[in-house]
Amino acid sequence: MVILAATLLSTLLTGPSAVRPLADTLGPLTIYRDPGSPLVVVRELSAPPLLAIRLSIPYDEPRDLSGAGRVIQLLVQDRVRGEAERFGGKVEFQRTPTHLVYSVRGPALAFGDMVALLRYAVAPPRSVFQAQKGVWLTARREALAVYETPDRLVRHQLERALFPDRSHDHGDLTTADLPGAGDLEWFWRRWFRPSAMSVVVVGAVAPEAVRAAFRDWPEPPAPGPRQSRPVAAADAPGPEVIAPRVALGYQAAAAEPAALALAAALVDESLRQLRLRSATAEFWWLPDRAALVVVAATDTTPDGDSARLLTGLQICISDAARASAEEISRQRRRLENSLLMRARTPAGLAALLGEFLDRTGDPRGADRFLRALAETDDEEVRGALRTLLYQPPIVVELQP
Amino acid sequence: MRSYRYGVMAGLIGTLLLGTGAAEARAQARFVVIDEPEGSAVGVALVISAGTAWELRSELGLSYLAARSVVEEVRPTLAALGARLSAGCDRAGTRITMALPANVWEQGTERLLEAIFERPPSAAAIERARRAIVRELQLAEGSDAAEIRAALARVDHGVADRWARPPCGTAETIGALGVGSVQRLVKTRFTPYRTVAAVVGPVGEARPRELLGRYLPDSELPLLLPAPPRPDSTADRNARVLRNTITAWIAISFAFGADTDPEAVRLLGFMLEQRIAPAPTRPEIYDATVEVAQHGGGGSLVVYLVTAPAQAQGWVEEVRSLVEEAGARELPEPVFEALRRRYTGRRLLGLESPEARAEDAALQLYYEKRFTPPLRRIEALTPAGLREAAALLAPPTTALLGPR
Repeated sequence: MVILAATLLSTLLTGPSAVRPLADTLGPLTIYRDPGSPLVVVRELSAPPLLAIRLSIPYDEPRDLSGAGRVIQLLVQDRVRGEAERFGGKVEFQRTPTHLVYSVRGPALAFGDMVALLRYAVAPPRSVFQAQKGVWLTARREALAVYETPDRLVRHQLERALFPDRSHDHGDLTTADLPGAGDLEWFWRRWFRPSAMSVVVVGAVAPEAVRAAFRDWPEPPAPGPRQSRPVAAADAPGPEVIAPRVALGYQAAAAEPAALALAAALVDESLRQLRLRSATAEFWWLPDRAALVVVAATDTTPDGDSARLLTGLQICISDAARASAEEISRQRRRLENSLLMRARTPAGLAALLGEFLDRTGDPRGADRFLRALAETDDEEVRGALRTLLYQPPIVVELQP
Repeated sequence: MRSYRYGVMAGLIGTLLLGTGAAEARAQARFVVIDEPEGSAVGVALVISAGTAWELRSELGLSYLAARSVVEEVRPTLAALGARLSAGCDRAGTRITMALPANVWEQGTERLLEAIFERPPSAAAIERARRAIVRELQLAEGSDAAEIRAALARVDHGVADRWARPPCGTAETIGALGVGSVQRLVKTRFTPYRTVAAVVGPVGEARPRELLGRYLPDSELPLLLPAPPRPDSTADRNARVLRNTITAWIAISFAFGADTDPEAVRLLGFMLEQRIAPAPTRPEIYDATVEVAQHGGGGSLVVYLVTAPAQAQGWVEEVRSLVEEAGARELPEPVFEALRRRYTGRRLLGLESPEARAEDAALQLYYEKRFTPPLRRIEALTPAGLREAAALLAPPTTALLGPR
């Protein structure tokens, strides 16, 4: 869920340094928008002789089909991984709050095999949907993982409070009445449409070859109407909470994402003064919404401690809104570096381009973000924090 | 496009892509530059001829502590540029690797080279490095994995030999090393004449050659590359460590000579790993890994297995017979091609990052005195080459840890 976590940022910049500008940092992209085909983005890299493909599918799950996207991934996962071993490749399936993501990487010579694997993964034979009861249970068990640790649970609760209309893991649903194969196929028909997919390919391959490989994938039949079923929530197990936790989130859809990412980094730095058991500031960024989030845990548990903790966190945000130009510059450099270092492998670059594409709908979203990061005015960053402080935060607490 | 350039060796290596046969006769290239203009980050790796093989008993772990101290010394400065550093220890060499954004590669590389060759690390950096290593070694020491490695090293090299010692030292020896010893070692052994380097990324050609050439100048002296003494042919080739464990740990080591192609040995290791990895048909195998270690006299292919105790000896024999079989007959062409295809993916995915490619290039330069792009090395493999590599392996030594 956490999209740009300020906690990823590393050690302080110790002094000014002459660096080359970051113009077109992530390199030239070739973009194809053929009707009826996935949006295809190609970043050609002649070295190393590797290829990374990231295919993403936007989705939304009604509550009674919660986990359906993950079930479709799990149904084909073993077969796809086994096939990838034939060319020494690696496959990863992920489910974000807004997209189902399929990633495969391997030698460039295996491009055709990699595309075939993806095609199978997103359009498996319908018979695959029949054998799926056990897989639903696996998906529900995975979803239950958010209840395992206080840190995950408090984030999960905050996420549901901040973005109530988005798909969320419903690990707490009862498993007595699982959806059937028909429901799963309806979900597949509804969302697994090539025209809605995005594909990012990074590596040693000709852009036209990529375009040809993803063109003319057949659309699934229309999903038709569907009657939703009532679902019941079971008692979800909770983690043992030893230290109180507080999570507060500020909805921030209107602000410039680069300014908010910098703001989160500044708040993260400012939180250190509290000397808590743990405290992080994060920037959560979904396609049509964003939030600045602070999650903290403290060691002490006297009455009223949560209120004091909450006040302390808000003071840190207020302090960050007065950050010096030097501090903002330091955080800017950290953020740029963390993104550039992620982009140093074909798979990392494909993930970076794809994540920004999923968020912004813009194939050049990652480069635009880097540029915005470089151009964002210091006062814009401070202003974004001040604006957030004017609104009451959404607060979630976990008590021992 | 990317291009390969070898380091400034008296101008004797002009534009060369592969192989350095002519160059080797006169001097060894000390660095390789792989220009990848489309990349966004740069990898830098150095391999220094310092390690347990050079250390006195009282110095055990000194090379590693020195490398980590150098890294600690420059870490704050380089981290500010976005760089990530690491150090590694082998018996025959010590590695320092860095990855950093392309727009700061020159300053970052220069600062690292300065720290290695021009000023010894401060006492504070040494203490930070020492604390970190001691913590890591205390966690690892005494584990079954560490014990089986130590037992195999004793069988391979003899109890008293420095090659039998742990390559990174022990928590105890690292804790006892003096600050002065570390600083002296950096001055005397972390020298340009004992070092090879590689830079990979969008660096162009002239600038890295100029920068690396300044720190790693021409030398007619050959690189000092240690090799273990020949093993005592009369010594017992098998070790048994009795432990009250519920699993058995096996290590089987096959030595190979300097004239054996290490890439073919790696392919053989990959093939073995595929045949002994945990699988439903091999429920008694809990874990399996294969490693290839190199030194000045060749190296060794080592198979590690964790099995059910009752089947342990059987698996030692199985691995031995798999190697014998590989050395006796060539794989049929289609089988070999399928194997090579899988291996290509595995090997190249291990080199995804520029720092991994830099380290691979520097290690090649260090151990093999030349650099050939990995894909070209893989393409050059043949069924006959694989058979030959297996046939040239020495009879194995084994170590077994487990219950009676």
